[in-house]
Amino acid sequence: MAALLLDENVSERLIDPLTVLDHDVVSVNALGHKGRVDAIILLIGADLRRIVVTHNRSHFQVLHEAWILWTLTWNTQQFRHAGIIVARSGPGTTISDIATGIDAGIRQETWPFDNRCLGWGYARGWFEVSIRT
Amino acid sequence: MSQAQAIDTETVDELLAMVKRDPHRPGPAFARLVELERPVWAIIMHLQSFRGLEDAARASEADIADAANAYVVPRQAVRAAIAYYVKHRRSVDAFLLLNSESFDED
Repeated sequence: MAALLLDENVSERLIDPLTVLDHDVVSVNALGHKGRVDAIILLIGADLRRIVVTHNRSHFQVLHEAWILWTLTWNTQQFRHAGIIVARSGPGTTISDIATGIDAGIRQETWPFDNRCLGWGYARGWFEVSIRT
Repeated sequence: MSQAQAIDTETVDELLAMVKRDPHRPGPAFARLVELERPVWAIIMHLQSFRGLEDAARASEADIADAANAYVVPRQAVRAAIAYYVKHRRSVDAFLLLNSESFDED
């Protein structure tokens, strides 16, 4: 279904349930990219055409904004990242909840996820992370 | 200082030596495990969210084992993250709160 790249702040336990749900999942650590900065993680996801899954909305929203605005400004929109999913992890949320939520969102959202940043939270469901200009 | 206190202090220092500041992100909230590179905040988030701990510093051995398994790190590394958290609780909690609340609304 979808090719996903788990950021190093995401539990590796997400790999199995998402794989069972027919997604192709690999972690940053498994690819040998431990300790890379967030900007490089997004670049790796873009190169591999994998959606980055992270819990770090604070930093990845900024990266997403920069990517969109800069490629637009420099007329280099052909460089598209493969998508970002920021998943909230809160009290009462299980790994299974997150896997199911991500899967449901991927199936319901318009494909592909190129240049999109989507958020998911157990209470809120899916939402598009807007860009501030 | 009693012998027991000296041992405890040494243990905490050894644990804290397993944590480093992120050279690319200023501030204590973004510390990482040495070599393993997992962010401390992610391990604390795991303990709070998936183990339901209001205070991650009170993690049991079962909680520690669970976090170690989730992030594929030794249990001692989780203990190191907790030791760091105890020392820099305000900074780590502040980032976790900021990040968590960013999901509530835009």
